[in-house]
Amino acid sequence: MSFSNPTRLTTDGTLKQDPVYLTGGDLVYTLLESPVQMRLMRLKAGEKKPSPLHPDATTNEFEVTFTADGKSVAFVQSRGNLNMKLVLRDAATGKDAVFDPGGGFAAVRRPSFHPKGDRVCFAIPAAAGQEIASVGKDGKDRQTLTTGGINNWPAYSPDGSRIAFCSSRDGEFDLYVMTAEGTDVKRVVKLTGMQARPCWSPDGKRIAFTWNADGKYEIHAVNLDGTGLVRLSDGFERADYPTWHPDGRALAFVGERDGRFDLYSIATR
Amino acid sequence: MLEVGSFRAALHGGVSRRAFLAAGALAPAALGLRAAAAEPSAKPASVILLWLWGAPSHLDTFDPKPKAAAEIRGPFGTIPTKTPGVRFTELFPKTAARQDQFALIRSMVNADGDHLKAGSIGLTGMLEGKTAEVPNFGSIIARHRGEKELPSFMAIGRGNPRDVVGPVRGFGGGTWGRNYDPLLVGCSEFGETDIPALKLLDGLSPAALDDRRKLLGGLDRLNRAADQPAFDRWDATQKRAYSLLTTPEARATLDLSREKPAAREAYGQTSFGQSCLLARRLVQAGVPYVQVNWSQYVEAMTPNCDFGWDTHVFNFDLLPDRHGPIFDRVYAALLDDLKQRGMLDRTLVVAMGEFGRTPKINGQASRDHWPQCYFSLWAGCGVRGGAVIGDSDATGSAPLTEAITPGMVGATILQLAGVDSQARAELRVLPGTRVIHELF
Repeated sequence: MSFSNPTRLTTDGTLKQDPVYLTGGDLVYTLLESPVQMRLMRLKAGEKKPSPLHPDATTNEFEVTFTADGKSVAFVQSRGNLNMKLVLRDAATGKDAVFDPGGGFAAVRRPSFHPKGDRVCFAIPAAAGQEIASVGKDGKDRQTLTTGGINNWPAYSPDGSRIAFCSSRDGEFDLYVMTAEGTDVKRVVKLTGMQARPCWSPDGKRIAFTWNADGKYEIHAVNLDGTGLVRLSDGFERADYPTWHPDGRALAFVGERDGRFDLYSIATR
Repeated sequence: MLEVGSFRAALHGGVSRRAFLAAGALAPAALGLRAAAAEPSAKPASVILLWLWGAPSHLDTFDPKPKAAAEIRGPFGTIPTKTPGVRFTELFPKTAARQDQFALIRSMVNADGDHLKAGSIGLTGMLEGKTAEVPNFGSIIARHRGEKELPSFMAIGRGNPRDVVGPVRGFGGGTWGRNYDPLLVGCSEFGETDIPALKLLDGLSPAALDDRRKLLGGLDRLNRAADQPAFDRWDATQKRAYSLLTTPEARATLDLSREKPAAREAYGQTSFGQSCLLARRLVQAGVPYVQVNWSQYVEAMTPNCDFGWDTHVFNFDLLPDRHGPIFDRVYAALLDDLKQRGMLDRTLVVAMGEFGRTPKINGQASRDHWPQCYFSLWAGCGVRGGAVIGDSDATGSAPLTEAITPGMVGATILQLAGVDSQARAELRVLPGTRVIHELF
């Protein structure tokens, strides 16, 4: 795999994270709009100026995920003091379902919508560590998919049959893949340094992820069998939060340059 | 609004002057410092306190326990530092590469596990700070040195440290009065500065001060307002802020657009980063004590909560995502900046929170409050770079060596800042404690 020089997609430099591509090539990401407001923003394909995804939102919203058809969206919503809930919204009706992790200090993070929209998986603290769990599109029927260790950043494969995630079950954060039911867990590759935020190529053959290699976060990609490891980012102080374009020919991420955080895109061939 | 390079910088109510006049030389012998280390501090030091409100986990930062059980160790790897045998977690590579420039204390102990009480003890060094209003280290320095042309105690942040219950008692002068409170300056990620005490004064919005003509007009209006009886109703903080605003040098110090773009970029476009750059400018201009608050929604995730480093949930997501990379970049930039400007030998930089976090990972896959053991970082003013003071046990639960207390922190800061033991006794602050001589 080769890659191109990055194209800068935003210019404000403000802290941002977790971009995701929609089917048409639009990007939705989280922006630290003010010290008290994290907002979901939408950057339409080919445009320079983003706009709020939910202009009327007054609470912090972040870590958005969509179904393949874009008809349903899920995101994390902060509703209180160290309390974050999962909101599942039907884009057509605007009707919300909520998965509530409970009162007090409790949170759900890093949701990933099943491409067909039947379930959402996410990371949630558990009695021992942090697990990957899933709920139905009504926010009910919670199912535990992992046990042991700190598990985080789950991502459904494009066909919905597998989940990539990272886990400390073998010591430090490494990259794993399991079935959508939580079975057949396999470590993809053993690397020194934290791996985080996996995302699938549209053909389901490769996974891009962030690797803290030698003290620097860089975007890498690897085949499911652990071969073909390649670094995709270069020249950044930090490259993080990869998301693959639906056509498979580009990958976007948040790059930090000169202390500024912007979205960049690189072509992948 | 000024445009400099890729950064915006607003000129707003001002601060600064060339006024760092020594209030008396230190007595190295009394400190028990090595002569070589003490020599650069012939004048009282200036101090920058990076107040990591909310309390960072010591195990996930600068006192990792890679050989401990998984429920203690956490998921982060460790990396070597510039000092052989000393390791940090993988989240702090720039800091690790500069360990030869600062000392690390791994045996800090606070006397309380409540943010407000421990925070007050941490900022005053006095146990009675839990329940009584005793003065902040900066307030003591301000009283000892007296008010010069610049405030002697300034704080940077969107507010004084607080939690959902209220503000920390030890943020300012306490019973000494508001004259010894810090003059608070806000600083955005774009380097826009503002003085909240001036927000009640008409015509002093940043937009009104973005060029010389408007600035002068604003000041004319302000002067007219000051002639009115209303001036008498301003409180001491507002009057101090106003007096600063009328001083060109003071205004210039708050204008980060005067920095070279490369310098601003080195600190990064975060509020904590630009706040630390502002702290360096204030110290350079003569402010003897600057407290930078990682608080009041700085890089926050939940609204209506001064979250800071209080990672009760998703500790292992927040730290690699935000807190670690931001701190690592900014701390390294600050040390580099001070060193390159020749300021590090007369500027003490201390970074710490109010306590540590539980060695055992809690039911939320995070860590709770742990005052029994935590860390602090010390640089400048003859502090031995590369030193590791104290040690903690195999799980980071308790010090194996003598506990270093906030009182000892305060005595050390004040001693270097020219408030010696006799002066402390006269001010009736920090009795029965000692300087951390191991640092020198």
